Amino acid sequence: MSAGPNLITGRLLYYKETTGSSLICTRSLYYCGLHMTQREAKQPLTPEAFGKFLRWLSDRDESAVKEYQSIRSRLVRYFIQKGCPDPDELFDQTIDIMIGKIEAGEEVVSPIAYCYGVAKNVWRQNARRFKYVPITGDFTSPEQRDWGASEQELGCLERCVNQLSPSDREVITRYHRSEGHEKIETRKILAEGFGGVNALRIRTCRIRKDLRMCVVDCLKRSVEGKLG
Amino acid sequence: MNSGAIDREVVRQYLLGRLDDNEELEARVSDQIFFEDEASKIVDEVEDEIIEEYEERRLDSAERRAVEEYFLRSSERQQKLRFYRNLQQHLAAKQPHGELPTVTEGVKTNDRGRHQFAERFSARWMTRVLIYGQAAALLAFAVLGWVYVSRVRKERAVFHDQVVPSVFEVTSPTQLQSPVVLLTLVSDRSRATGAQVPQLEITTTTQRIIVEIALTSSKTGPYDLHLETRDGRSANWTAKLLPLVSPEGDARLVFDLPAQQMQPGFYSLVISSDRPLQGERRYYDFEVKHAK
Repeated sequence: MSAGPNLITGRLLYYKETTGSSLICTRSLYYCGLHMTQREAKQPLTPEAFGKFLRWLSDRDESAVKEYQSIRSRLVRYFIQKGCPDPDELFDQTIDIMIGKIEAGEEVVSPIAYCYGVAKNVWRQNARRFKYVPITGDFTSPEQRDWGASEQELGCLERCVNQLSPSDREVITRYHRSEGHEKIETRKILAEGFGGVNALRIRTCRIRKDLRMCVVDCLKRSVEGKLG
Repeated sequence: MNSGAIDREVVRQYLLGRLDDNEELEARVSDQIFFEDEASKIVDEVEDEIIEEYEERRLDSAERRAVEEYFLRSSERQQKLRFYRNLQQHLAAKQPHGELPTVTEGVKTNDRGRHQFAERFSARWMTRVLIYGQAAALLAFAVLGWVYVSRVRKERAVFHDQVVPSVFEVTSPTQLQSPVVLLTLVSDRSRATGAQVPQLEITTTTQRIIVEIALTSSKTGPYDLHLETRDGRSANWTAKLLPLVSPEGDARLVFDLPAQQMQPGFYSLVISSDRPLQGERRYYDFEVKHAK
């Protein structure tokens, strides 16, 4: 497969910038930084090479981007689950190797399975290095000061809680509000309402995930609003 | 690829980095999570569960260490924990105002229009209930307060006359019920010289048993531990621990066990090491008694 001439990939991209949350909304790649950590770019990824990689994924622009995002989220997740402190870096390394293989004309049946195989090797090569990386941050104290939410975050959190459906809002508020014995009792009552502790856990997990995504989105928009 | 439903407990062990010694299982779980959406959904839930249990201090010391040394390596998970903490604080500060009457009603009502009507209706009633309710509550509070104060006075008098002297007669400071008890184990079964098995008294309020085992060698470990009953059945507690070694070379294992599920009887803490030349299994016996 070769990169089509009409595939638009924008200006010269650095590896860092190819691993952001969205390929379509380039503004968020520059300003938001919510899913990214700044680090030195090793070498520039040319639009041609990246375009070639996208074209290798699919002939159609839209599905190539979709496929790329799917591969990215799965690989980053894989590296996180392996206890890697910087999953984006390993994702970059994986893509780097992949591009080399495409340019060498390697035949591949399933891009995602192939990327996964490469990612596993990348992990093995880096595993020893990460094993001895000290963990930064103190999680042990619930009152950890550095972790306190900013006013903006709290504002977004409040807004997102209010945007929940009334039943979701009630469940999550009750689930988190009380303490000690009262908390146990409240959760017992909630679990009875849902038909079991597991069902309640799944529900609260889903609500928290929605809230987290809502807060990230809200913060992103407020940063863009300030800069844009 | 579909290799059947993934086991939540296996996922939990995987996320805590405890399958690293079992390459085949680790790779299988890893593949399943990567390729199957359903499995990755379960991972999300178990991750959330671990964060909640960590934050609410419901993990034993070994799991807690696994969370801090492995699970929280990635900044994404640290962000998740941070979010959980912020949400907890934010919602804990909220007043229970404007709640719907019951959870099940809220859950069952899917129709948005009906729900909004119910909310408006309950809001109107809430205003009336608030006015009359406050007056009634004030009156009830005054009456109950008076009853309560006189009862407390009466009880305090009884307490001073009867209970306090008897408590001082029978209770020494060491008998006061503590949520934590200590258990020190020095000799394993092979070195027991007919001496009595160490006994541990726990009460209904005992939550954790802090165990200290003096090791005969100062090897660096890690050691595998599990709890067994006298007849060799597993008591559902395992851990992998590194010993504490003093500058003089004395090694010991220090950890805590949950006390609430322990029934009276004989138990053994079995220590083994998967490293070669580190000796065979050692059994440290003790007896649990329920104190009255």
